[in-house]
Amino acid sequence: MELSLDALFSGLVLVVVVATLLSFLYPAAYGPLSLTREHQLEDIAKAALDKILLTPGYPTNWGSDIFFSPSSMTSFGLAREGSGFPFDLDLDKVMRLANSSEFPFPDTLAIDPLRVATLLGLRSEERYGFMITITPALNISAEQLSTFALDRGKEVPSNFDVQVLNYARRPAAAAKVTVLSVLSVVSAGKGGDLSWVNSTTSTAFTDWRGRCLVNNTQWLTQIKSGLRPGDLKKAHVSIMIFAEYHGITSATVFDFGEMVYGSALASYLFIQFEEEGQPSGAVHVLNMTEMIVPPYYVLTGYLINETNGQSGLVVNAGGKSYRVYRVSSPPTDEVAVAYIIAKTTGDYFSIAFMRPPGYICYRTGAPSAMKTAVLDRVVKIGALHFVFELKVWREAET
Amino acid sequence: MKRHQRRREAKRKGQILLAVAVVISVLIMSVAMLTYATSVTHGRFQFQPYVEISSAIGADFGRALLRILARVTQEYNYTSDINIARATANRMFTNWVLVANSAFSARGAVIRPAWTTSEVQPPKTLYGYNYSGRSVYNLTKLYWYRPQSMSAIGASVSIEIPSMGFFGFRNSFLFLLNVTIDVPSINVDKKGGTVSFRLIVLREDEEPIFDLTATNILVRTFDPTASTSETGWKPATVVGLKYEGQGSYVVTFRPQLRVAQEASSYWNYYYKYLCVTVSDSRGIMVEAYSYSGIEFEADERSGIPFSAGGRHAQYVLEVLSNSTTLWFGKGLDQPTSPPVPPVPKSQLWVQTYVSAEGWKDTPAQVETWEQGQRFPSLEQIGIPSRFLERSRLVFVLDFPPSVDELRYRITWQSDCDYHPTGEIAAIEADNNIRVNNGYYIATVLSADDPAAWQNFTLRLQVGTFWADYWLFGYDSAEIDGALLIPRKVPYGRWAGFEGPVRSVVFRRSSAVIDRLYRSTTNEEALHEMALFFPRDESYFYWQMTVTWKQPFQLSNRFMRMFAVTATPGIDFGSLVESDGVNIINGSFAGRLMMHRDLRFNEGEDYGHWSAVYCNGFGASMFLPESTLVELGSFGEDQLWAWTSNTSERVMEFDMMYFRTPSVQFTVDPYDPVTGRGAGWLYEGGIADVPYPSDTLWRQYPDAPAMLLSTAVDIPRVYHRMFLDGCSPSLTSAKSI
Amino acid sequence: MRRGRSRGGQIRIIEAILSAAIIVVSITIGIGLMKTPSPLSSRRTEDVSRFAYSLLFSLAEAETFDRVMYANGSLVPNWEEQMKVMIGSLLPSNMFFNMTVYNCTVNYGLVEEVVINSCPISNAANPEVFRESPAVAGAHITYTTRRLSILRVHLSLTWSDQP
Repeated sequence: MELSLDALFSGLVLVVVVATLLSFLYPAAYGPLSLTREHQLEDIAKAALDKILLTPGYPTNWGSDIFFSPSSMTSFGLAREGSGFPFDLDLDKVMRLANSSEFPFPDTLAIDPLRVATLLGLRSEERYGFMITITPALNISAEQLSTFALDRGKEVPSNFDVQVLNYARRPAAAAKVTVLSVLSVVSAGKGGDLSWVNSTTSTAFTDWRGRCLVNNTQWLTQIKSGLRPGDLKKAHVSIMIFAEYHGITSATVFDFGEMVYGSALASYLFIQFEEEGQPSGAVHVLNMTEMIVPPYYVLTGYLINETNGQSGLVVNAGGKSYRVYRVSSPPTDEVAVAYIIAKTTGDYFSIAFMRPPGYICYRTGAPSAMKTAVLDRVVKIGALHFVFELKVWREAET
Repeated sequence: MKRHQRRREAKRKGQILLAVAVVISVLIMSVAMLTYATSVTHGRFQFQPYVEISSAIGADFGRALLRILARVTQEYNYTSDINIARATANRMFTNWVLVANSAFSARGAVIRPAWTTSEVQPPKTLYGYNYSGRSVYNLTKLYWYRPQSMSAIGASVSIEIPSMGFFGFRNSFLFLLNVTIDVPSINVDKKGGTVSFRLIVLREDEEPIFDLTATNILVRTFDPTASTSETGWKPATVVGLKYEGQGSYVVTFRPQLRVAQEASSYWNYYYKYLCVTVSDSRGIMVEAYSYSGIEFEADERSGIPFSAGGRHAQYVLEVLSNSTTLWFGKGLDQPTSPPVPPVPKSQLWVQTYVSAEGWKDTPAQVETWEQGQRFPSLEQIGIPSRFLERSRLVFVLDFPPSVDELRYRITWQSDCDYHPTGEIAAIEADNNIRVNNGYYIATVLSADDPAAWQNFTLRLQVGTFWADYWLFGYDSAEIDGALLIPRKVPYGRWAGFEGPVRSVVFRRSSAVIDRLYRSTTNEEALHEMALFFPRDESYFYWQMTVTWKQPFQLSNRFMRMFAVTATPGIDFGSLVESDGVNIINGSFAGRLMMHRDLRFNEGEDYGHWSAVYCNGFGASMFLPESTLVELGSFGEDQLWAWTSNTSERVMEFDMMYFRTPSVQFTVDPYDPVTGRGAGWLYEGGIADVPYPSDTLWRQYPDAPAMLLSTAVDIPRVYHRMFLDGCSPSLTSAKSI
Repeated sequence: MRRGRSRGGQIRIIEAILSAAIIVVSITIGIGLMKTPSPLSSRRTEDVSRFAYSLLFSLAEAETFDRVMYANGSLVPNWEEQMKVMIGSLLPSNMFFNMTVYNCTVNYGLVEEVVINSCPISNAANPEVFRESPAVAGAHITYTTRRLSILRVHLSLTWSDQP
């Protein structure tokens, strides 16, 4: 009898001890280990960011080579090859990330984000998702204040209120703003319609609110004086605003009115119309391009039509949903935006090719994990500054 | 038995409890240790900013290289001295290394830079111009002054941070600015008054530079209407700049012309010669020209029979910035020629075409003369500067025997570290100036002390022989029955410089010695004299201008232009050209004697040359036509040959012959005396066949004229080099 | 017989107590080893340091120091205020900064550093905030100006704990 009580007591003590151990050990270890594990996410994000921004990837010219197959990429990086300065990115490589509904690329040119995740080592034992966003370092906005009538029924914007914010979203006071205003016109001529371009440059400094005014009335008046009433068929104004805030530079294009966007890569322009909003009937592309080089210059070139003659300049619905054109003067990094004028059923419209687009978002999915590592850096693409943001999360936590 | 078993069971249960407790405690400790180790290990992988530090160091190294290249180009553009610019670059580079190592020493960073050597451009042909391969080494290299020019810098840096375990990082940089003038695109719009051309501006990796504005481009063009007191290369106004993409700009400018109405030659000819300086937003500069040289063809017209002793006819040519070419102080006949650009003087390069060997380097030197190019100057000696309106490029044009046509070219080195043109240096002398030209030793009397007895202007010595030459003297006097001729001579201190082509000695002074009273005056004449001693030649030449400061009277009407006195103690004969054809050959006399003198015979009968000679030495005087005209301006000129009372043979060209009794003469301040002449030393000769004739040669017995002499050949032939009508002519000039 | 049973029971109790004591001691030691540093301070310091480097690098790359500090080859009067406003506009509102700019010169091979900002470039009214804050980080870089002066720029950052 006594022996059983002793055994019972010992057993009870044993049970209590084991229970205590279990209740202590697991939470005690769980805290620090999970903290360490969570912090590893930031280290992984940092390593991925360094790899993306400081290495050119392989093959090193994967951005500009449109015949390059993404499956042959063995390393992913956006750095510009040959540049001795860090965080200097290759424009064409960045453009390859800019596949979106607004700036569609042919599928053969798109780089699968999952493939990139694998190359960045985010698909090993743990699966990580990532999102890259690239935005101009200076947030430039322009509000149209008034219009100017070049011809009857042909009004174009003339005065604008420009605001510049720095990348901390604060007003960029005393920023130097250079505005390149480009007027694209289609007018009636002796031998048919004429398309021509006129541009002007003005400079101003922002006030304490980061604002300044742009007035193009005098310039437009001068142009109007050279036009015959009734000849004007299409007039379109774009303004390229180039802002410099203590050395940080950004440029943004504003197109007032209807605008269709195409995509540009290396010396090629891609025109692809989405299902919605597609112009009815055939779209006839005029063989002239304008390329804007901020802050001062507008270049004109022509399209090299490598298809069959005149029909190559027609973008139809159905069989020919997109076209690829090569530009006579390859737009190197200096070109910020290119324009083509197209005609359809008697009306003209402009197609703009942004280099790079104002906002790039490239991702494997939406970040909705419990913890997301966010890193950002100011980088240089071409001659302009951008904020490169990388978000990394564990997909198991979504 | 049972009790023993129970005891054993009881003992085992106790052991089990203890054992379990120990095991549990071991488990707890293991887990705790593992967790601690994980935290510690993870802590070791905490943020180490090696990426940030190495990126910052590398970026600032690149930035420093850009600044250094910008400073080098700006400093070189300002000073024209690549050595100063390069020393600045090296000092800045060293400073950066020291500062960077110091700034990051707390982090344990070790920074090691190195200069790299890399080819920036292989040999190529661009717009018709050939370029040899270009490399960057020794940190910076500038290749300027061509239609395609560039400035480059290259270096690398390795960074290690041992405390962070960071090794093996290396960053290389190459920065350059490449400017190309599309020469065929240069186009003139005469109606609009503008000129346009295409300019391609690229940076490293052939990337375009697309943010240039008119303020980044300086275009200089040549104004043919520029006055002699200003440079012909003037900045133009850029009125249009259009960017065509790929770094290509169309530049339109309006030239600056002093007298636009007289500038038709600019619109027809000079518009295509451009000097373009581009400065990009990084501050790097490049200077490019639309041509890389000027090629001339020259004809020898002296008529010298070149079989005569196999001698060469060697002319010392002097080229000004507008390409005007001078020989013996006078411009040659030449067509409209491309101007010499405002390149640093040390970059100029002269080559002559030799048929068997091709283009050969010709020694050259650049001299600085006073504004207006009238008189030499010691300014800018030893100071690198550009070839402008006060500069002269001097070189020898050597016509070998049987060659009377030569091609030569003036070009300029593109590599700014290579200096083909020889340096000139000031001649240091306390008193007399000595010049050893490789054939003779010239001594020019130079003193401040008026007590120095002025017996001659310069002495040329070859071995044991010498000849004393006189330049100018006036007035005469009689003292104790002896004649003092001339009475007054210019004196003062000479200055000079010497170079690989020639030495130039010059003096501008108002000081005149009155040899009669051993006194000086500064009130009578301003004399400007320059003597030229070409290297390794047997001749020298001179130019002179004497301007009377006020009207005053000469006690006796006498004025001498140029004279030579032979070595005393040796018998010397004399040669005089007569009627341009005949030679009057006189022999030696042992005492004071007038041999050719208007008072006694046909002293006015003389030509372009005369000489004194003996067997082994001869010294001649040559005068061009313009000087003979000056000599004859008073109608009292003669070639006076006489033996002095100390038995020295003297021959002199007089403007006013000596006469007795004295006749006074008042000088005219508005009538200066100018002249050019030369002296030629040679081997002399012997004479034979006496020919007594007082008309030809006034003689003392035993000092007749002679019919034959071997001393005639050299002066009779080579004086033709110094005749105005026989100077070489330039038959063509084109840019290359 | 009874005495042997009591002794056995007592011993067992002692053994049980001993076992419990062993376990308690090991747990106590384990707790001490499993303490981790505050994530707030460890990660925050890293974040601040990385941010400081990133900011300095961006300013250097944009040549901001040349543009703000120098004009026509010499220092702009009151450039410190301009720099303060500029940096303040680029930082979150709850972050304090203190920047010191040194001009580095070389004399006979020795590097000398002289502070060239005549007044503090800081948005902290009280300099003590850097001493009291748990997460302070600094970064410094060198910057070669267009005039070929070499600057060493030191930036200290810290978060304000005030909301």
